[in-house]
Amino acid sequence: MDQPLLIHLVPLDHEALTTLLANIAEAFPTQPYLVLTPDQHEAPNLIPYTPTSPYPSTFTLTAADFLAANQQLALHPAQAILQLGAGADSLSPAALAALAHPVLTGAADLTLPCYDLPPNAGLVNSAILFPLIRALIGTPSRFPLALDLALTPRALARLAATAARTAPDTILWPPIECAAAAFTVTEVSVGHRALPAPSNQDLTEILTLILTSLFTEIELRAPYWQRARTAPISVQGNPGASALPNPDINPMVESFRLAYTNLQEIWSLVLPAQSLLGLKRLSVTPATSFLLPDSLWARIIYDFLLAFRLRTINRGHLLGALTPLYLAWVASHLLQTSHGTPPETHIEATAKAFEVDKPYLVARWRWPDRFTP
Amino acid sequence: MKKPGSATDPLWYKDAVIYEIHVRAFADANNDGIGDFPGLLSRLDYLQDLGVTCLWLLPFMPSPLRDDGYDIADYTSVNPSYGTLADFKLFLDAAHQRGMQVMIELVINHTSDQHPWFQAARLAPPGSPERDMYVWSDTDKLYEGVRIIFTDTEKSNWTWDDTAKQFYWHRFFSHQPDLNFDNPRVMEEVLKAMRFWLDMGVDALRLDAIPYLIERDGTSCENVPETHVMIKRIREVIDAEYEDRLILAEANMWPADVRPYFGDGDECHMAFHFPLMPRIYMAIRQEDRLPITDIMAQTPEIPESCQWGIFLRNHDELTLEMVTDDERDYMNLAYAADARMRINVGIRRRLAPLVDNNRARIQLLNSLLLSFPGTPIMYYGDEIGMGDNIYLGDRNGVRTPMQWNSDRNAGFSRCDPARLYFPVIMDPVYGYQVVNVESQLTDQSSLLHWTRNMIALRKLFQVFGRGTLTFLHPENRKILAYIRDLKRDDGTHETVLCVANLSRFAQPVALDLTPYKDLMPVEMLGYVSFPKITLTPYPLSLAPYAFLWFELQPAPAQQDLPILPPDHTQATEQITLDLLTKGWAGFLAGQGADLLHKVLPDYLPRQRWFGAKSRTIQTLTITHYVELHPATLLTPSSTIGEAILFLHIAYTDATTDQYQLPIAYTTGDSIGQVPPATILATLQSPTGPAVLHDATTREDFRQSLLALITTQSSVPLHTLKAAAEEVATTIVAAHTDRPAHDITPTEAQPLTDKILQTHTIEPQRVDPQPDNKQLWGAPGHAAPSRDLGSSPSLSGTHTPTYTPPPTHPSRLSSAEQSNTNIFFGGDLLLKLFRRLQPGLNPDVEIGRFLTETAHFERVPAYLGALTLTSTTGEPTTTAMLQQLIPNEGDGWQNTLEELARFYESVATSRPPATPATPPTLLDPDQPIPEELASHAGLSLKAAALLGRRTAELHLALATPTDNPAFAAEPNTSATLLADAQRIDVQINLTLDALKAQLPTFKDLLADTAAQVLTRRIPLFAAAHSITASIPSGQRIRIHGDYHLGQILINHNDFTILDFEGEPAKTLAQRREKQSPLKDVAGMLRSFSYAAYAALDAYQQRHPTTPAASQGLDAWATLWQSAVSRQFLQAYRTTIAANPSLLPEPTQAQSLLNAYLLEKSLYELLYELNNRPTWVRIPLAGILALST
Repeated sequence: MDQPLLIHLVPLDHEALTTLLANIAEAFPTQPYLVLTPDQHEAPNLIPYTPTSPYPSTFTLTAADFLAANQQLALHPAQAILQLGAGADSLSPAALAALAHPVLTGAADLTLPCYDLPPNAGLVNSAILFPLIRALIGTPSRFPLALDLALTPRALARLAATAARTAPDTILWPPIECAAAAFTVTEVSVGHRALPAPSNQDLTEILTLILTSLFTEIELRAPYWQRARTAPISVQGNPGASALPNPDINPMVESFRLAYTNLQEIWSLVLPAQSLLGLKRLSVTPATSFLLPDSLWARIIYDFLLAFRLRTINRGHLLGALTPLYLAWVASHLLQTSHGTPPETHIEATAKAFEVDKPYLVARWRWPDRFTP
Repeated sequence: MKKPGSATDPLWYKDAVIYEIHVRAFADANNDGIGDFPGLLSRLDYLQDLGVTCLWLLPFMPSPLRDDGYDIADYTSVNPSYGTLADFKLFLDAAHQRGMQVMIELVINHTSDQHPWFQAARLAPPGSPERDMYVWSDTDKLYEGVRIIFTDTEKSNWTWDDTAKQFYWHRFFSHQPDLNFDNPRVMEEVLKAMRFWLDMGVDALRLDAIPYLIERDGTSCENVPETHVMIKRIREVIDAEYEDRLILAEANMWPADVRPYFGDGDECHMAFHFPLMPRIYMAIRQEDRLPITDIMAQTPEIPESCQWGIFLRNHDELTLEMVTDDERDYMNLAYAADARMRINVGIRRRLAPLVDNNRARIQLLNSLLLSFPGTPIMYYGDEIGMGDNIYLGDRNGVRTPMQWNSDRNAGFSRCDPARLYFPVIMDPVYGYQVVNVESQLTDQSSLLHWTRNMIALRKLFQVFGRGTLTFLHPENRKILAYIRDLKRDDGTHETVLCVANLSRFAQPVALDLTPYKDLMPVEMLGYVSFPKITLTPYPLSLAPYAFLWFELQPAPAQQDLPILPPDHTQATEQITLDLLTKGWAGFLAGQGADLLHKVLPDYLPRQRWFGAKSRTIQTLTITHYVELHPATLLTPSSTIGEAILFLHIAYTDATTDQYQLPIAYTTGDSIGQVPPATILATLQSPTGPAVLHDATTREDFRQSLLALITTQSSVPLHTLKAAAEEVATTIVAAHTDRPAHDITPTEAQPLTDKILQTHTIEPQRVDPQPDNKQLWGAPGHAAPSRDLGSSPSLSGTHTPTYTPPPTHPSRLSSAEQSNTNIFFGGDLLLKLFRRLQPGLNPDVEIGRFLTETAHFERVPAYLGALTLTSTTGEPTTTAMLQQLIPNEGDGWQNTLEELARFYESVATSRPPATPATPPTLLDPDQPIPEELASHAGLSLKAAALLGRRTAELHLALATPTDNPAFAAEPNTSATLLADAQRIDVQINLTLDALKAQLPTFKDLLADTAAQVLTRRIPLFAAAHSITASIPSGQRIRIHGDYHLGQILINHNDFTILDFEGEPAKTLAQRREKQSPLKDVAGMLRSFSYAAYAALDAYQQRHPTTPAASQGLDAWATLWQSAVSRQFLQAYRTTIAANPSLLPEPTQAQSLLNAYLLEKSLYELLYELNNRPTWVRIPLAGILALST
């Protein structure tokens, strides 16, 4: 008999768990499966377990999640693993089935979901994580930090091995990890999903947390991504999602202008003259026509990544100095989308700019001379 | 408690960048003027940022410090000046936390004379276990003749000890008595010390001076076999008790002598490559890559798990032990003009002062260090270009304090400057105020930043630590170019091309990168894409001392169509349609044949393989063709297969030739991959432009050829008439709505005739209701035969031992040859003969005999062939499959390179005192003149080995056999007379030609030519002297065209190639049995050519005065004479295994002389017609034979 699909859950409240179990049952009418939950609950195919360490985060999966899943895999050998995060009860049965299908059929080692999110949700992902990872490793990963994943046992084992070397709350990057191992990564549309908000709402802290983890991973994987060939990726997002009308971008623009005055000294340690000139122009641009060019944004991220690697300044200060620039991108994005550009179109353009400028990053990474244009 | 090492990959040392540190010299934390572990600990962040991954600490154990710590007085403690054991542990843990491994010294050959073991030994009675810890003797004559290493300070390897009343043995300083490894207790103590440090977590041990562990009388006391027993024991303990640890051998020996220290992967993991280092300096000073390529050619393969350690400088002198006397003199003059810069047999200077502080030279040397195979080892301070102090004693000039900043004592210590263990460097160029870490950290363009970037770049590419090395051989020897390649686990390759300009001036170079065709070099520092590699030499220009590293990546898919010469462009859609709808039969029956007849007379003379370039083609006929169908193809570039055309060419001088021409049709983007020089014509097709071109450029065609041999299958041979019949049959079938096999030849005959007459295929004119009766009644037309058993065909065959290989990608050889060589992977070579001659090709015949009957291993194994069988049943070999021999170049090129060095070496010497005597078979074995031996390098040894291999070849060809083509036959009066008469003809022909051209010669050449012309009668006499005595000796099949170009160098040995014989002769002549001395004569003449060709090249590079030129001529003659003598001596010794093969000695000599004469005359005639400037070479040979 085929080995089952192992569905590994994080703690959920009773109602959410009940809903999710019903959706799972509907998603896999013929596929044998086992659901592992840290919650006390009784249902067919359900195996409660006691996690070895507390779950440190709800807004993303962490090292602890992969370790826990891998421990359960050792007890319950499975054909594939569906790792579902907080709020997974909002995924439809079809989404669950679609997510598991590529790994169950052997078509992929890792399936990432592509969510339909409300307008302006997940902009850190859209502005930095998605374009950066896509440009560097060339895998489809619109949501590289997804809360839900389907994995083959070997993909999970690899992530767990990495997790074992880190703290439980460390954020892992499954698409990078799997791509570096030459595993197949794929992406499926899963429709709407409710995303839990981070417990900490401070933007700089969130940016620092996520980017420290991502930039460290990128530094570690430099030999891989510098050779990875990136090919055009088909867009899985929802291009029809409409923007909110008349967004108020003034606070963000003001925040950027203030930072332009205060943080110039730090930025000048990180960014080359051409980028500084671009920011200078932007600082005097009226809010009504505030447009941060995609290429400039890509180079800003690349230069911050490089400064992070070279420890040009304290890494905390460095990422703190990125926040106003990120706000400038958000303002620019909102303005463009309010003028009729579909959000996904602009995000795709951003990702393309990252791809086009990848040689800029590679060249600077290899030869980080400040005497650059 | 045993702590693990910090590495997790057992082969971590292959990817490492090692940094050599003296604790005393790096950083002083307690301000006593001596560096210490707390100081080192405080600088670990600096080292981490620099990117080094392994720290090698010079000895830090308690010691009287009379040899900078290599005189250890306690193996399991820390010298109090450097801190405590606890300090060391703290340092070790901190290094591990930063991902760095730590290597320490295990100095086990000797101890300090202050070591308690030695103090006890002196007092203990002879023969006691305590006394036996060291090597004692009552006499200092034991082990006499063993060299002294520290020649500047030591006069003997023995020192008298007044207390012990015996001499004790020491290979280094007299205060460093050697331990006695014949005493088992010594090994126990060594293992105890080793475990002490490994238990603490130390990752690696450098085994100091290990060749000297064991002494044996009658030997050099170096590398004696028992030494390896000791090392194996150490390794055994490490493997059994620890994980991921390393031992590194310090054995200052030639690479071949160091090789045993790797064992079978069960001795040392790593060993230093000592001889490479001085040769890198030599190469950059001489602006010539030879010193480097030469030493790398002498470097043997090492076990998979092992690694070389390479370095530019270290704490010792730049050792010149592993160079010749001349090279040592040169190095001293070039790099250590001041005697204070020298010590022992070496130069005590740091990297920057050695190259006159030239930044470009420092960078170039580091680029070689970081890209050569092996693990790079950097010496502290060289990353900032620290200087040295030649006024300090011993090697202390390169061991001064690290220069951290411009503060007091260079930031090394806050002590009173007078307390420093050595003064810091203070001169205006290298002084700490100028050269220090702090200033270079703030300067983005500093050497420190450059070094840091380069280390980081190297670490990105595993190929540098683990890949193979292949040198390229561009004509410009100032350019060093090599390929590093690593096959990854997933089957893909990481390939890097490194090109370095060793010259102080800009240099051009054209690299043969054909194996990497279609890849795109991406410059690695700036990630800049360069133009795609094609079959043409890849041109680059390099600035002075520049180096370029390229990653070879697949090129982007988009390709531009080549721009074709307009006179070869044919807008002929009809031809394309014929080809696409009716295949090659349609093409050749229609206007395709006309097109080819039109373009081939222009096309052929432009092909490298076409041998009749000087003759004018009168008529060209396509006589036959075969088709290779898509079914046999792997990746067809078009839907039709390829064809091989067989051409009959008649020249205006009434001679004729047969050639084969593979032809293919390619469309679309694939056109971009077709080399323009191979394109016959451009056609218009319904989907755009298409080209007709030589099919050998197509992978599918090459695989089809191999498949024919592998499957031993055949394809039918067709005539153009058969093509017309096939097309006619198809058309009739289509228009009568019947299957083609129902159509009789008679039925198709009218249309066939029409096609043959007009070369047009017009289906609309075919009568849909032909008069079958009339057609069927027409006699005399046979249908195209499908029975391959008896029909003309092209067939593949292979030997019984041939194992079909897995599918190998193939590539064309870039060499300009009369045949086309196709490589399949790294194992197989298919030689496609372009010019065909009916009959069995001698290359196939002899290759097969040597492989299957004689089992001779110094030739590529014969594996199979493609043979054309005509209607008469006579076979013609069209291709031969043989083993591909990995090699380091051919004998000709190698000898020229040797000779280039030879002339460089003798250029400043007086003309030789020894006269050159013509080598003979009658010579007793004679020693090589010493004045030549010191300059001639490896060529003398190589010539002897070649003589031996040549004799072995002849012995193999004389293997008793029933095969009449190979059975040896005796020399007879008739055969010898025929030889003499043949030489008569050659004498007349050549001397007549010489006479005709005499007025055009100048000065000395005219004199020499006139001298030769006066020798006509002695020359005839020399030729006929072979008939003077009773015939003896045998005639066998021989190589027939034997010269240095037919020899491949592989692993310091030779493989003999190409048994086709002289191309100008008929097959029957080439298959005749002859005296083996004819091959010997060929090789001796080749030595002569090499000597003078290299001399010409040298004189072009270094114009010399007539007097100097005469001196060089004398050296050339002496070299030729000595090399020939070495060859003949070895040949004579080896061939003696079959005494009947050669005639008795006097007759053998006469024969050899006659063949030398014949060959020289042949050469002279060739040079008169082709290269008048080379005429002097055969003229000199003829003169030497006639006096």
